[in-house]
Amino acid sequence: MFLSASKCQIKNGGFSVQCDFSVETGNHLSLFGPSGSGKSSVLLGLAGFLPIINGDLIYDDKSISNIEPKDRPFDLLFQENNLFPHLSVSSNILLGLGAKAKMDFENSHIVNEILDLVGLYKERDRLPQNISGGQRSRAAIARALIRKKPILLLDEPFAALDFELKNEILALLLNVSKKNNLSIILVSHDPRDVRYLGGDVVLFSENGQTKFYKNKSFWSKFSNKLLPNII
Amino acid sequence: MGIGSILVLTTHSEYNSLITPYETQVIIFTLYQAFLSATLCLLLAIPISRAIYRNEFFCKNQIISLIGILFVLPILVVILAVINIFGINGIMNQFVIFLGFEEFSIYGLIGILTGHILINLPFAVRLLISGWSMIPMEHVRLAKQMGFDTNAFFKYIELPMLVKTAPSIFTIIFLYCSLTFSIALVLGGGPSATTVELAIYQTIVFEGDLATAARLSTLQLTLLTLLLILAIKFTGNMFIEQTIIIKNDISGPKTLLVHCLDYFFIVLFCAFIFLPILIIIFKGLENITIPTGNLILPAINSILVALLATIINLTFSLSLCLLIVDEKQKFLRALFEVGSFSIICISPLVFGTALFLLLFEHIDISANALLLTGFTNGVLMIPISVAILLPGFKKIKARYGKLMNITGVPRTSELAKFYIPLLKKNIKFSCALVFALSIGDLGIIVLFSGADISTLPMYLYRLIGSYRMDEAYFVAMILLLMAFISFWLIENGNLNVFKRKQMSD
Repeated sequence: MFLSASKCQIKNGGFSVQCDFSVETGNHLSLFGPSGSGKSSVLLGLAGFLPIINGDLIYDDKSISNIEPKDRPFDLLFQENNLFPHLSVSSNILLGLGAKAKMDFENSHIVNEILDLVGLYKERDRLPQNISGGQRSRAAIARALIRKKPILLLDEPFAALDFELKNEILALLLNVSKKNNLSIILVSHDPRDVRYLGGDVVLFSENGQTKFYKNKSFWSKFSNKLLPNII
Repeated sequence: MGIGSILVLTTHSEYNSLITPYETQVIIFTLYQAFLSATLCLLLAIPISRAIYRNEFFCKNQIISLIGILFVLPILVVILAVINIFGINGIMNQFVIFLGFEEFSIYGLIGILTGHILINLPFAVRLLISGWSMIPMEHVRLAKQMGFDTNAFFKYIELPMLVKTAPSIFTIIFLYCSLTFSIALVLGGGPSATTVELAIYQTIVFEGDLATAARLSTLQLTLLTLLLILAIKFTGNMFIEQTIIIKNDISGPKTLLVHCLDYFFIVLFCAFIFLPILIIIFKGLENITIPTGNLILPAINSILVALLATIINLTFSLSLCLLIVDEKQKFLRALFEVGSFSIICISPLVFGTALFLLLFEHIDISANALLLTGFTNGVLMIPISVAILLPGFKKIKARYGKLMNITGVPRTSELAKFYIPLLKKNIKFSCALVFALSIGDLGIIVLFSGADISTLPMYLYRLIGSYRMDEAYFVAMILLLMAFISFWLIENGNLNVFKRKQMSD
């Protein structure tokens, strides 16, 4: 067992949501459901930005419910504002190595390597507002990858991208995940993303209820309902 | 307008461009005190606004709302409060003497700085709170995720916001401190602490020397316009952002020392800002038995002046904003924009004197003093309302511009059908500010009015001048309440309430 949430209740203002799930090393999980059902709150709770008021979050047999966001095994990509607008693409990525990291020979090599991987080498000196939405997403992914955290949390960071571009970026992520045993937890209301990512699913309903499904059981139960939408 | 005003003065005098050593000294002092005032305001406002924004404390929202109202604190009320606290017989001097030290004098540079800071600090704090609230929550969370320490948090999250916001706040305060004369008039200390605006007032009122006034005004207008252009070029705009989004969980890493410093700044600010107001209200209530017969007419006059100023200001600023967003040529659009902001650099006294020179042969200036004061106040406050309204105009044009073209709404109806309904909140804020500032402003009525026509600030000024302090405190309290209440009523009052009531009846 790698990461497990047992009856984790996460509080966001006057609203709270409870969920149970587990993710094995290198596997993926989708938090799927309609808007406003608490998917992002769960993600923020996992990352340490919202309190877990009941239950426990266990990572490698240790409770991480009460530790600082920086010490958790996650890197979170938000829906927007993932990059600092006054820093170039490469400086944004360098921040992943620490706030005090300098662009010296060694770090420059690491940053260039990751820029190559996400296909942004040519854009390294440009500011975020001068590159496309897809390129901004890639830059944010690059910074997340450089931090080498074992679990990547995605709070619909590609929602504004078109279907093909979104799939292209997800494919890149799946590729990296396979090579580095990286787990991905994705928030989405689009069944196509859930299908593409694979892995298990936590289904959120509008009344705040959640249910954990293994991949196969999820699709055998909901394929009739969801597949027509995907097609 | 500024150049026109100066031209009127030069054509009515024997103009020469030779600057005397005294005038040089006055110009240097003006820039020096404005620089010090703006710098001190900003240096104090940064930690104060940050402390207020990122901490939860008793009455936080109410204090933020009150800071907004403090924009309209009448200058004469501030002066009276400064004298009461820091003057020869003031609370601070009594305390200093009690401690066994020698008494100090507030008059001179210290007095001018204290007055300017008292007036401008709430303004700077309010705008910076807006700035802090505009930092994306995601950036704060990214910082926590990446384990930024206090220095890194300041460098990557806070500093970029300050670089964007602070120059325009500095410029507005600098311009304001260069152009007000009431504070230097009462709290300045003779020739060594005279500002350009005060020198212009003295040369016009006491010496009738229009040539010197024109010369000083030319220099002032040139210097301040240059500064304004530089500031616009550097910051990209001079907008006043009124929105504050209160978010939870917005603070960066905090040590115990930082936490204590935050609360020190909050207490210091509250004491510095609210003590003078409380003193004026307390002293005013102490003298409440004073007959108010002489007060009613100046109060009504003040309301009339403010009403006229608001109507004129709204008409001009709405038209200017429409002109700017409708202009297709980039250069002309920039010119109109800089032009409307540069009105802030015009000396109110020179503008008033030019009006006087143009009109005195045609109308009875003294009898029309209220009209002229209202007109001047309305025109000279255009930069404030444009700074509030123009961002909204630009957003609407960008979002609905094509829709307006497609639907074929005539240009003349665009204001009524789109801009005014969509910008109701900004328009109310702008009107509230202009009305309340105009009610409390001594302004150029000092040039126009005879003994028979007076506004409340003018009446208060005469009371202070004749050392009738008990009455002055009472009038100051009334003036303060009028400014605050009118601001609150216009900004929050919903005139539709009356309509709905009538319909339900």
